[in-house]
Amino acid sequence: MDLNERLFIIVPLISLLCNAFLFVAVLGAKKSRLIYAFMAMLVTFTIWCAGSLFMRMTLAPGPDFWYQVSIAGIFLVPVMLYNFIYCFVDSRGQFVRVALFVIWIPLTLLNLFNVFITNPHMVVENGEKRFAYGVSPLIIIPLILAVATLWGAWRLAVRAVREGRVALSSFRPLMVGVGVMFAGALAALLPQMVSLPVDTFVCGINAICLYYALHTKRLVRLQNLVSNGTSYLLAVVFSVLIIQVLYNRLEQFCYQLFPDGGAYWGMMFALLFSVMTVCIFLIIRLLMENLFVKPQESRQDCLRQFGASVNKSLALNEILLLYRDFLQETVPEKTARVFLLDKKRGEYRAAVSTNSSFAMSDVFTPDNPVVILLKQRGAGLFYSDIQRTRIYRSMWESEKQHLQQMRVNFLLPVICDDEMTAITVFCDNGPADRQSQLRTEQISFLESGVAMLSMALKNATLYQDIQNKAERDSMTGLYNRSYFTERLHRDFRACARSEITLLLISFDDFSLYNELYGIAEGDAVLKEFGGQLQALVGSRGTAARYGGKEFAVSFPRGTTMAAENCAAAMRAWLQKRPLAGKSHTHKYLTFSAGISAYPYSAATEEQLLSYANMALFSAKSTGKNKIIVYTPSSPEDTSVKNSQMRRQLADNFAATIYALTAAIDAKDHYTFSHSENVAAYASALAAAIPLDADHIEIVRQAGLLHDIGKISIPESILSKTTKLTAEEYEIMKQHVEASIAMIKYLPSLDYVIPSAIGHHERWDGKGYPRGLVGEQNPVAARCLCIADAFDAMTSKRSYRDAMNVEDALAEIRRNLGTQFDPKLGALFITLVESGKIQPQNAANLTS
Amino acid sequence: MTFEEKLKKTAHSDVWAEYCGFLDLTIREYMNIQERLLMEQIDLMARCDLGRRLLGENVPKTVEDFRCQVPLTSFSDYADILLTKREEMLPAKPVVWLKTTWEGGDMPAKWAPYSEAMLQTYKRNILGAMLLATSTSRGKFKVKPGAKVLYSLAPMPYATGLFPELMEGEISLQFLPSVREARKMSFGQQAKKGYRLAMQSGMNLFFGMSSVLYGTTRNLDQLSNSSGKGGGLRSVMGMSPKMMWRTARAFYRCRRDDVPLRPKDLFSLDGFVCVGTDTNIYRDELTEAWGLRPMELAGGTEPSCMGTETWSKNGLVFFPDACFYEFIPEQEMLKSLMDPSYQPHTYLMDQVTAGQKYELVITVLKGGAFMRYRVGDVYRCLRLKNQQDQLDLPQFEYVDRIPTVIDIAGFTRITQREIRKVIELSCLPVGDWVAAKEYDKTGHSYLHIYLELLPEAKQSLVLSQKLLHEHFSAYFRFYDGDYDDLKRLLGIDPLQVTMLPAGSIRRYEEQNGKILPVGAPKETILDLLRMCGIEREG
Repeated sequence: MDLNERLFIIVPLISLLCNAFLFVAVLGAKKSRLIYAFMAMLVTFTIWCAGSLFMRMTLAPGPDFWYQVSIAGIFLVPVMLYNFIYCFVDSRGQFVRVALFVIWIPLTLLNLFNVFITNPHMVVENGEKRFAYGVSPLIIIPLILAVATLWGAWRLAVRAVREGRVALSSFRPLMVGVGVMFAGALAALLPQMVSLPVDTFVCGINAICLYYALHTKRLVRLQNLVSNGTSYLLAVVFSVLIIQVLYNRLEQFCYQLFPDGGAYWGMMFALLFSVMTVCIFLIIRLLMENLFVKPQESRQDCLRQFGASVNKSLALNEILLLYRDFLQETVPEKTARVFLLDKKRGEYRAAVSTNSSFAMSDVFTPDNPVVILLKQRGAGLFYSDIQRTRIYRSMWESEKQHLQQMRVNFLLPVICDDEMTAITVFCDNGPADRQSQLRTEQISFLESGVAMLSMALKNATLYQDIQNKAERDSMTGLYNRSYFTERLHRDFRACARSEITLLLISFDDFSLYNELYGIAEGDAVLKEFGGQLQALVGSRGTAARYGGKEFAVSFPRGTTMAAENCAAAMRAWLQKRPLAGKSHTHKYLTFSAGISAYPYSAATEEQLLSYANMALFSAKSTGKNKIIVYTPSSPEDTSVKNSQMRRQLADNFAATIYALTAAIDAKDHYTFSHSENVAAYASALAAAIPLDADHIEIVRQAGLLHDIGKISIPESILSKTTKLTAEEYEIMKQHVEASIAMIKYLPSLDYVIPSAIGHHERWDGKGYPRGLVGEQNPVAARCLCIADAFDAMTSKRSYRDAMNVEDALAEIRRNLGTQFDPKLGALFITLVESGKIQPQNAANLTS
Repeated sequence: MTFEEKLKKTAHSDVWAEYCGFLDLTIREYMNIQERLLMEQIDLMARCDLGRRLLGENVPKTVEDFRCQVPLTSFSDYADILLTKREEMLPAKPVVWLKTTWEGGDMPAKWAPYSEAMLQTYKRNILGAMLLATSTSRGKFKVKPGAKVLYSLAPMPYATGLFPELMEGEISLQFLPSVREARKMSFGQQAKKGYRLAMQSGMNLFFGMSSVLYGTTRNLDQLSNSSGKGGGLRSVMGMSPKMMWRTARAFYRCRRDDVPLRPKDLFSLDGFVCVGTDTNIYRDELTEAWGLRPMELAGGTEPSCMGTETWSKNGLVFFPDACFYEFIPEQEMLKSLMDPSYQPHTYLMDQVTAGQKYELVITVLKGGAFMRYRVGDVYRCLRLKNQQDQLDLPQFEYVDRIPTVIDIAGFTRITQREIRKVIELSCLPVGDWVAAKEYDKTGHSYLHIYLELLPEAKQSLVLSQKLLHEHFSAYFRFYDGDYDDLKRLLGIDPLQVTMLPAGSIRRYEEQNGKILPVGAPKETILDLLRMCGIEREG
């Protein structure tokens, strides 16, 4: 067999295979009328090629039969091409199409009777086989019809492009395919080409072009070829081709090697064929897996991993970082930025980016047309498509410039339960001329990832919302008191070997400010102040709203200087703030601040808090608008340092305190003298601890005022000579809250509240009103507890006689660690026993 | 991607959606765009000196605030900044400055700044208008790269001159004559050369002033004869085979049927765009002559290209992103013209009523300088939606300038001040007078001055209407360059003078209790003439 003859077998065979494999690939695609039209086209090409091939191979039932098959295929090509274009452009109106089928099918059948092409027969010239045939004058009919049919197909395509139903670019592969086919048909007429199988060659090329056109329309995928059946079929075909090419040499080789083995050659060829087929099958399988399966598997693995990771976490930041990594892996050629919904403002704020050089302050406002469009469509959009929408006209120039600066290419919304929770923006990197659009596979892969993310994001957002509600103050957005206390506890433990500073800030005369400018303005100040404080503290510490008008900041590993600077900066801001506000009225507002630090002044967490409070009280009571750092000092030192201040303090408030205590005296004389005694005992105990002079003064004043609430208790209960009933006892217990309620109306004395409120608390937590345990109760209050109990026991009451001092001390001793602070209780006993505390009722007792 | 690349590479439906998609807006969507872009403009204005001057201390937060706080403006409110081109006081840096006449005469030309964003919007809108001009229904258009465009409009720095400049980078159009050549020519030369080239090689698109076009259409025979200066043979030699065939066929048919040569015999236009105040008057005749209904555009120097007709060529739709539109109803407009201190009420696009005439008030968006600016144009709202074209937007037709401005063929705008100045310059003993815009039998508009002579003039026997006419014409030509163009380019006489008996105007005003304004309506003039016992011709 010479080369020419082989070409006439190999080329149709390759074309036939092309068509067959494309047919297999299309079989796996989702069927539509376009796919069916393509399949019909492939069948026509296959008939053409198969007929031509088998005719050359003179296979049974004979060349005549295969000739007719091949010609039938050729006859059907125009109508099938028309049908394909008809479906491709989604044309309407069936008449012409049906008419063409009605005409072409009978024509094809007529040709079986040699009406158009006559007397086909095989001739052998110079040892070369070729087909010869005559042409009837009637051939003009199918020729004219073919031209008319193809012209009709061309018209359909042109109309579709004009009407904008199909882009011109979609037709390019079709035009190339059909162009190649025509060129082939014309070339076949040239004498030089008669001896070449041009027609079947271009038939294969055309089929590939048509396939490509469908592939660009995302209707078919080459991955459909990946199956054992296809691989095996390919292996067999390649084996046949190899054996056919090498047959003569193999035969010679075998003859030389085994001159007498002719009987086994058949078996040897069979074995060789089998081995070759298996080898080729394995190679093809490997290639296909590497080409199609592995990338897909790796993508699926990536997706699975991402899904598993994001579903495990409830931390929003962690999920966002996982998503960032996923994006980096999936679309490395683009910079991806995630904009997260800020529910309060409805904005989408930049949260994470695959390139950290991008500004994180970027925002999409809720009325941005891009946001509206993404919500409406609920699917990814190319920026170039957005530019074509009518809503794009409403975009501000600054917004357009922003998107252009970001070099936005594609935007993908993250939607869960009809709410768009985030937007992923893909931006171009590198030079503008090298940019490419995201591929459809990439987009669908990203969409799968986003579907997984959406639920995780929603859960995390919900969790964060709940956490925020529990931990944060709704007005200022700062942490609330309970979280701060918890956090301080944690930080204190973490900083046990280093240092921690606590800053307490309280606005001065804030109630007055509210009354003057309204609660809304008051709230606005608190809100802005909170925001400013948070910004100033940043990651250096924890800022919280500690009370109505109070803020607390802890600086783990921070010195008092950091806290002082922070307070000073906030004061400067507060002084400027009203001027910068909407109203040009200068609203004067100040704050006082107290600072304490561990381990310099406070030894425990409670002391840290307590000393900061005391420093704050001190600032308040010495003129306000001050920042005071608590400094540990002995009573003597303090008396030197602060004697003038303390005296002034006492002078200022003495009248008020005595007025109040006189009021009690009028109602219940016992309480008056009791208060004086408790003040004396407790301040002596405080001095012995030793607490500083300020603290001692607070303890003394708290002692004087601790029972002021008894004014509200009915005289019948106060002076009852028998044991109180449970109900009466409950009423009696209310005197603590009543005291606090009364002291609250004396803003200058409100610093005694923490001490006064705790005088009925117990060390074991069984006291009232708050049930504080151990050192949770401030030290001043613990002093009052002991003093109060001691004086109550040693005083004569209407319902019992006074105890003597020893019994009272014994009682205290017995209750150390349960009712009383063991250390303070022991100290008190020592003080009494050493005579440093003189019981005021002792004379009565001894007499 | 340029417009030409889009035409080649993307589906026509995408091109349509991008440029003409605004026609699918609902009125609510339209208003959203308007309001959003107005807020952008307020934001830009609030940052510049001009804006602070107009907005006052409090920057409006809503559209309603804006309409309440900002007064209606006229060019004199901007003159000190715009005439001296003080760019630093504007909301956005201007890329080009366009000019137009300001009441003619000795007043300087008005200048309007165009920012980069305004030009982009202008470009997008004018391309949309071009698609619509060639369209036969929604989405079906016929714009071809390389199309031959006869562009018969004023060159830069007039607003119409911007179109060829903007098209340069977007689509390869073959302007007749080329933009470069046209820059060196006067308007008249440009038109003549354009027609000559069109006669030689044909044309696909026509952009022109309706009055000029109308004149040309009526004198096409002359034009075709004069197109080849060197005689018939030479002009035939310069023709393309296609035009030669068309011309031969047209002449044969005209001779055979004994009918005049019509433009449609020679040209097969894809698009036909007319601008100018009198388009409506000439439209039917132009349609008949050119075989294609002309499409009207709405625009001007201050507002840029702000409106276009659709494929049905039956009513203007305003672009949502060129300007923020407010409408003063006719009655309010008249009230404010009588009493300049009166602030008329305005209505928005979703508040207009079909059939009502409105004076247009615009706020130029995208960094434009004009805010609540009274352009001086009157539009009639034709309908609120168009079922046939499936439009959910109001459509308008251009009516005229405001009554106090007499626009003649779109060339010149004559005001009371200008007429008074001309009368003064003429030194003729003219007493009371009133002016109106009227139309002759051929549809051309002209200025008609009805005047009384002072008692001392009775002595002069030579003071005839003709003399008055000639005096005034001379002074109008001297005083107003655009007026001069009317006669030169269109060959029309834009002035008529009628003498009234002394004291008749005062008597009329006393009887009717109203002052006769410049641009008095037709009915008023008829009443006046009836009272004077003068029969009006035609």
